[in-house]
Amino acid sequence: MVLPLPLTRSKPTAESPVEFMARSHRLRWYELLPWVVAAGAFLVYPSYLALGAQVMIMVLFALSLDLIMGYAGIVTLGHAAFFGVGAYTAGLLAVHGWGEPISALFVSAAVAGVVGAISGYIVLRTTGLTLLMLTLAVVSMLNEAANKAGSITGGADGLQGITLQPLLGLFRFDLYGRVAYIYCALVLFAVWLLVRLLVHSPFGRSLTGVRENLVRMHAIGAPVHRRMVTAYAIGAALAGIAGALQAQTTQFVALNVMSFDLSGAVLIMLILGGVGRLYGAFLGAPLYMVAQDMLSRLDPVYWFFWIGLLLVMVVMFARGGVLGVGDVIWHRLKK
Amino acid sequence: MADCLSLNHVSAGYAETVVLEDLSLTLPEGGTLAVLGRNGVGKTTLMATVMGHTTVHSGDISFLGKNLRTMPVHRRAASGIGYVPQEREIFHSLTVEENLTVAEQPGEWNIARVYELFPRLAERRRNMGNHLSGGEQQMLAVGRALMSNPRLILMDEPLEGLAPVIIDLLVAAFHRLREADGLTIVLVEQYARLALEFAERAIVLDRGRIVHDGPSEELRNAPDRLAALFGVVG
Repeated sequence: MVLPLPLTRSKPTAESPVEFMARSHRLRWYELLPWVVAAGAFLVYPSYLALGAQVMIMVLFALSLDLIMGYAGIVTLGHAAFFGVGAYTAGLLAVHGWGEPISALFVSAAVAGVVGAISGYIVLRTTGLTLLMLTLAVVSMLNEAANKAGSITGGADGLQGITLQPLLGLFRFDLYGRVAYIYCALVLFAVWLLVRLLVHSPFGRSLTGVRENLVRMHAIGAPVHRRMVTAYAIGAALAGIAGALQAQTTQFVALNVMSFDLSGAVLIMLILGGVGRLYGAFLGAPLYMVAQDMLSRLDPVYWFFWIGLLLVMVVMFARGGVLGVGDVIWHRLKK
Repeated sequence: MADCLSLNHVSAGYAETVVLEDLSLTLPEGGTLAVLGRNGVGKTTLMATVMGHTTVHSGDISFLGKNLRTMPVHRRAASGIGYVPQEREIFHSLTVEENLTVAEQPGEWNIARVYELFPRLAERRRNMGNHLSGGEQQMLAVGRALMSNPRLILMDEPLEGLAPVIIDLLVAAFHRLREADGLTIVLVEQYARLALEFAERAIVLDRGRIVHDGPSEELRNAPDRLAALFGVVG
């Protein structure tokens, strides 16, 4: 019998894959930066807390898209469908007497997740342009359904009359948005931890495999469709949480929470920040919202032109978004 | 010994294009088969057909008695067929360890055993897939196939473009898989000499058909016959 001649005397690892991943994906100091910034903004800009809460909701929404698009490689134009489902679920629960916000978040996540699983099971059998069009069809159909069901959703006038109980029975949502800000920050933190855990788990690594080489993943025995649907449903549930937060903090649900425009906007946010990086959402969403705020003041009618131009610049000169530019600078400095 | 793989009058190809024509072969459990032939005669298509990547127009394929004809690709892999593709197709965004982990199925083969077979991979465990040499990528491709705990392993030109020292290492590993682990191995290879020394049996393909099927020894001892069938003796 011929045995292989080892090139080295390395001993095989005794670590399990989970232990290895836990060790190699330990929390780094720079991962705490967004939370330091959020805490600082709370203290330094007390009159902008409502805007801050909206930014965090969009970060959460973009983070949910990153899981689907950045890790599983599913390109979608219909992610706002799940944001909208979450927003309407939380809004309708509150209107009909379920004003407890945290449990409503869980219900919204579950409903959006189920919608994601059902639609994902169907649309993820396709790829490319067909998939893109089907995701667009899902958001358009749900938008039209919400519009037609005006007696339930408020239709084009929006869902009004949302009243919430104090958070944990103690903290009433105040006019200055302090409670809403802290609530959004804590929910975002919890979701970020969950997504971080997920992308560094064997499941998350297999999503990266799916994104990189679908055929190869099939050939190594991975149930690709099931994993893609699972990722899509989880992303949908997280988008549902973002939508529910939006409904709870603004106490209003407009029809545009379930629109192609919002799907496009969150896509732009993620591309600006950097896709598949976990932190792209944390940079892209604030960048987009600040740019939107500034540009709409400078040019109230054609502000979106400038957003488009910014996107073109990023695509041409910074393919990995802001994080990609950061990578290039970092590597040059290291040399 | 029971049949591990059986192809019965299989015609297959890509969509309407037929590449393999009326191909039949059986391979017993623990057997080794070298698939030889010039470029473009259907060797890779044969591997792809067993894995389910092609359109089967007629005939039956079975693995350990199970009909593969309608079985999806991932179920074939999960049922015990490992595949080492010609292009290796390592996941570049994953580390060596993660490349192995994503393929893990319950069974005897695990990361520690793969590292034992290829100690070089243990050293490179934290390297990303695109930070490996060609030989290391090939070891990883074989290791990843083993992580699914196959009974049959299909290797498509695993020695192509590698340095002689790495070829020796891989061939030694293949011998170990055959002798110590009793794996059934199908080896597609341009290096006819190496393939014939390794496998007990050899087939030669030409234009999608088997033009020779017999013990490897026959071709090893008849270089003229091999040259006539194959064109170039490796």
